[in-house]
Amino acid sequence: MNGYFDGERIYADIEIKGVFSTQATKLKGQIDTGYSGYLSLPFNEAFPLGLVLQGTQAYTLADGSPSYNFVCLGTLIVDGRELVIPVDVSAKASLLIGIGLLGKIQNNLLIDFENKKVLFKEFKIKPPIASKPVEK
Amino acid sequence: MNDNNPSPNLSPDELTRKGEEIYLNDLKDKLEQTNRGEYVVIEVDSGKYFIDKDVTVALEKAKTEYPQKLFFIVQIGTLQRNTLNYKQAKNEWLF
Repeated sequence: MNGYFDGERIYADIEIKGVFSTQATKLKGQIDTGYSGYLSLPFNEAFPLGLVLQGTQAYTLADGSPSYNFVCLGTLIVDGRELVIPVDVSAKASLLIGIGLLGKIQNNLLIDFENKKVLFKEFKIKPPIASKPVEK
Repeated sequence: MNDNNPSPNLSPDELTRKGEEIYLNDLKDKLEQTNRGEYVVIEVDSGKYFIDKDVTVALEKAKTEYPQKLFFIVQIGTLQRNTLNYKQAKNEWLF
């Protein structure tokens, strides 16, 4: 998965298709670490994909107002793998990639602020080097 | 009507209203004690619900039992009671 960082926002390329589609569509989404869902799409992006409607979802925004969206299932293609993910669809949605999706693909998100680069890669955190006891 | 029949007359608004009522009146207090952060998928005609940490798994459980139905979905802890009192025009969220 390719990522971009413009100095303020992080974007990633995704490929998604509906259950009955053979052809995936490439989209560029903004990564929103405050969004716990997987992927949100506005109607005009979601309908052509042929996503399958599963129901509706409700939650309360920070200002106390309610927010609603349709929930569909779509197939995400990432690094040669196909993953079925929930897609939040509403008229006012932006194309957002949430923490849920980043968790699902089990990659680490690395941001190089200096060079404005984003990497999605597997990496293993090295165990801390055991410190030697101080000899007195 | 068979429980597994689709509900042709249930609009998204009605599905959401019934789902909110079931969640806020019957499930919210209980589930927030034990399953906060997980997803609950509610079949609103029967009131039956399915819970999992992964919303796709919860949906799969629900669809196994009700393959023709649409569901109301909440991430437990993210929906507050005052939602029902909030003034909102019908269908505002659709268009």
